[in-house]
Amino acid sequence: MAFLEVKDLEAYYGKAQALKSVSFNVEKGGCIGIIGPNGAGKSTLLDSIIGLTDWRGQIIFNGVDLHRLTPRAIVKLGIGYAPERGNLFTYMDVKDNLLVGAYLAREKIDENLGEVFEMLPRLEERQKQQAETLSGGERQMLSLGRAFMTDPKLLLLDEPTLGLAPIVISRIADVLENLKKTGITIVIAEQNVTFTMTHAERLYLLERGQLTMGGTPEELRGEEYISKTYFGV
Amino acid sequence: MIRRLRWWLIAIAVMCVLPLFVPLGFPVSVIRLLVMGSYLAIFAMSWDMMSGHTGYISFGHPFLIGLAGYVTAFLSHQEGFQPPHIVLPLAVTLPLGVAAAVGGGMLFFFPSMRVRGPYFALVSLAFMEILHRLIIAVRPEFTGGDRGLPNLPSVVMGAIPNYYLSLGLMFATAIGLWYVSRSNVGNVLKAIRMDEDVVEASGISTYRFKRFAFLLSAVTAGLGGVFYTHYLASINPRRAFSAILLLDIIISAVIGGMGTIVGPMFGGYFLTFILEYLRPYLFGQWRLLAYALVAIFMVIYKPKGFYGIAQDVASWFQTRKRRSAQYGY
Repeated sequence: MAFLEVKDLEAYYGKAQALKSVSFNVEKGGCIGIIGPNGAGKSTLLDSIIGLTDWRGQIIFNGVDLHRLTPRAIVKLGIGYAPERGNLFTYMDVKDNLLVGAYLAREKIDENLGEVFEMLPRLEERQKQQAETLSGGERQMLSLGRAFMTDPKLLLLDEPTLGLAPIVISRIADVLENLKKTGITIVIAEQNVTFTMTHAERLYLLERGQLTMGGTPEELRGEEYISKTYFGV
Repeated sequence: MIRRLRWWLIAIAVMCVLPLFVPLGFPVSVIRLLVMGSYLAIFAMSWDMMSGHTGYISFGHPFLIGLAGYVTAFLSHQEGFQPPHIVLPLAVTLPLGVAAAVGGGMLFFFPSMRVRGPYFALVSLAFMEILHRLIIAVRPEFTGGDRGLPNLPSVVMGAIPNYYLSLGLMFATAIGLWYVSRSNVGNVLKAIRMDEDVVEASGISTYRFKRFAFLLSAVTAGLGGVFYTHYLASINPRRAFSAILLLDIIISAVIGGMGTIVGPMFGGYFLTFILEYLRPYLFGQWRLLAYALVAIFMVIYKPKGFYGIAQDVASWFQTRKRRSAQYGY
């Protein structure tokens, strides 16, 4: 059985359908990428997995059906969520932001904080700085760090490279590779196809709420539609 | 410990010595104003614990204050409306009043905490109005109806004992809430104000934290409500559930600095004094206009209120000190 199994997932905002019959699997320790343009439903998909939307269908994580579970219960099962970098507690300092994430894994606060600072040394340097004064890359690192503080087995990353300079993206990529080495399963939702193809073992193309294509990076590179739309070739 | 509390200890010391200057000509009217300021500060801090910290703007705070006030007033007033009822001592009625604020608050507010934003504000306003109408219309022989309950016993007599009583309550409330605000619990509450969904996605039950904030807010509002009612020695629905009281509370918190506890405390005193000294120039409905203008100005130009201004000044001095140590100018 897959570690995360999403089957016929549908999500709505009022009457507007944001996701239509989305199905995919993620194996334990794997890293998959959901690519697609703005408004395709990538964030809605991650929000649904973490329990922030009303959805229909089936999401099974580690053998547990997530339907009607609260976000708290879902995080407790071992799913961590790093939303887009704008979603930080901007008037708090870096350490307090991380501690909000640590609430469920209180007994492991020091251990997890140590790991986060080791993985993201910039956060240790800036731990007393207000989150609103951080650069874009630092904000993204903080978002990652906060998700890591929940002690996750599966990490959902929403647009980790959004609006970042190439040098900062390469730092985020290093962090991602380190995370993969720890055995954490990762789902990345991204517009940056090159980045996602480099780090994910399998990709899915999400357009207008539907998964229209799926395969390994090599397979998708060979697809004419992907080459034309995302690489302009 | 002492270091963290040093500013509180200085404030307590200064406020405690003020009445000693009354025989030397310090006006008693200022002492009375300070009593009113202390109660408004308690209400503003109580509102801040709930609304300033979590972002759930409550328009129903007078509901909690009025409920506590009415329970203690009803159980302790001496005149005896028809049918006659038992008069209880204040030592019993005061805690019962606070318990009523907590109990009534739980009954009415918890379901409404499932809704967010303007819906919560409107539901809380509706509860205040419902209680207002019920007090007037249902069994006025018990509640005194529109006239209210007059001639209530006082907890202590005289301006100076009342000053110390209100000051004690105010500082106990302020230091207690200040500690909560600076704790991890306070951080989570502030995080809820910034982005509740992200807090949920961090595995925190925001409902539990909001419930805690609300309970703390209800206890302090009830505490302030019972003592305030006995200080005024009367209660009536028009004053207890008035829009003016609601505005006083919210504007004290807004101009002081929401989510800071210290700010709303200062705001309470500031508003009491400014309103009193502006009374000859601003009367009747003009006060409401002045309130609105002050609040709009603060929200636009200084959203962190006086607390933010004090932070800016402190940071300016620190920068100057650092610069003079570094470069010698």
